Amino acid sequence: MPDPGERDAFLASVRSRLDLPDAIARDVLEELEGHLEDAAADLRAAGLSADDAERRAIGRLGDARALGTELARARRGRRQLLAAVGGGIRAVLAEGIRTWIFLAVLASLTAILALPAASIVRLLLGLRSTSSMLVGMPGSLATAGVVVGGFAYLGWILPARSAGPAVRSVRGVRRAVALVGLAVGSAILWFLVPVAMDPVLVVGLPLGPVAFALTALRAPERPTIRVGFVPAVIGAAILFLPMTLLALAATDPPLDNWMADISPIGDVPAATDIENTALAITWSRSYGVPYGGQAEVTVVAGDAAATVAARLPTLRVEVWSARVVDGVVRFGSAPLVVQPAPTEPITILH
Amino acid sequence: MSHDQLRSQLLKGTTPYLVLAVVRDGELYGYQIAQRIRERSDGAFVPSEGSLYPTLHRLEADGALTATWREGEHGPRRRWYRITPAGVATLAAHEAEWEAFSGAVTRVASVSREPSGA
Repeated sequence: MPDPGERDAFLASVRSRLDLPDAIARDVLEELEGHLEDAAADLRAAGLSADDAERRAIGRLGDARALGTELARARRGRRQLLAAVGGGIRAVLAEGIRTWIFLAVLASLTAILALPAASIVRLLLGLRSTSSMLVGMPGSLATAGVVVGGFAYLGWILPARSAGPAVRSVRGVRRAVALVGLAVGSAILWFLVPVAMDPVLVVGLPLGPVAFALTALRAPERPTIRVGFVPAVIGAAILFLPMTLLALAATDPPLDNWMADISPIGDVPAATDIENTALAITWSRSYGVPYGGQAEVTVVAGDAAATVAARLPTLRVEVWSARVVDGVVRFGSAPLVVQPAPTEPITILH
Repeated sequence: MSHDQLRSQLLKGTTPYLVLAVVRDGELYGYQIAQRIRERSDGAFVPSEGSLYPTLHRLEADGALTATWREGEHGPRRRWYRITPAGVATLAAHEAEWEAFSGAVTRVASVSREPSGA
């Protein structure tokens, strides 16, 4: 009987260079073993001793490590690599949407819980107004954390879902998924995310695709981390504090008695021959402090509307920055935008 | 360059087509393919067995071959290869190219063998 150790050592050496999933590698090795079996049988039939036949059969297959490398390269043909990249994009879309919906729901639920917590904190501390920079920073950190964590999670699971078992553990596929994710993620962040970001978000958000690429390069063949119920609860608990701070920043006390000096708006030019008292000036507001919102000023001229429109064919529409400080609306020093607009009286039928 | 080296260089790149050519006639497994090439070429072509399997797997990855496992008479299972329509088309394209190429080489060689008129 030939020494089985020689064949085993040869196959183990081939396996050391087979960068393929276990199941595929086993098939490749079994095929080589069958070949060695046939070759050795023929050589024995030709008169060689069992040991010599085994040695000659192994020798004809050449260098084991080179063979392993070539076989691994051959198994991941261009077609399969393309299929893997295609599968990766499909998986990014399917899994990405699922994960982001999950994270959005998680963040929303946490925010809903954080709102009453913010009210309680405000009540306990007697806060009337809060500095958005002070409490906005932890909120931005939480946001950046969620984005980076979400991207890292996607990078961890996607290579395993990006292709069939034949190629999914291949380094080239991991690299392809990492590259695609880095490019797509960066594009989404830079082109789709609103640009009003503080320094934390400016630095934190671009780290998301980087985290994706880094975890994708080290992604396991079978990911063991899946977002389940317990991690979700833990994640929500971790998010709760920054969300509460964010809610503090986002929900200043209601401005029941907010004031602004709007008297200049009521100064009707003398050319119109219309008394200021003929005009009713009202405010309507849609205000989401501290990050944005708007207040609209409506000037109702009543019966004098037609006269105003005729004598003042154009108006200056001005957009001002404003800030609420201690319940008072304070405008900036100059309008941000000034634009002429035609006067259009609105006739209200009673 | 020795005779073997020259033959090895000429053989380089043609192994996929030799494989497709012998598999076109029927399903075979790896060892049989090597044997068949050797027999058909009267021993002129002995493809390196080490390069045979990467070639087979590459052809499979490219869709020119399909493979099926079957139990062997003795020992491990054997992986049988069958040519696909894409493989047949690849082989036909190569044969046409090869005929043109070898014809041109032969013509050049025969001209160079003729005695000069001077």
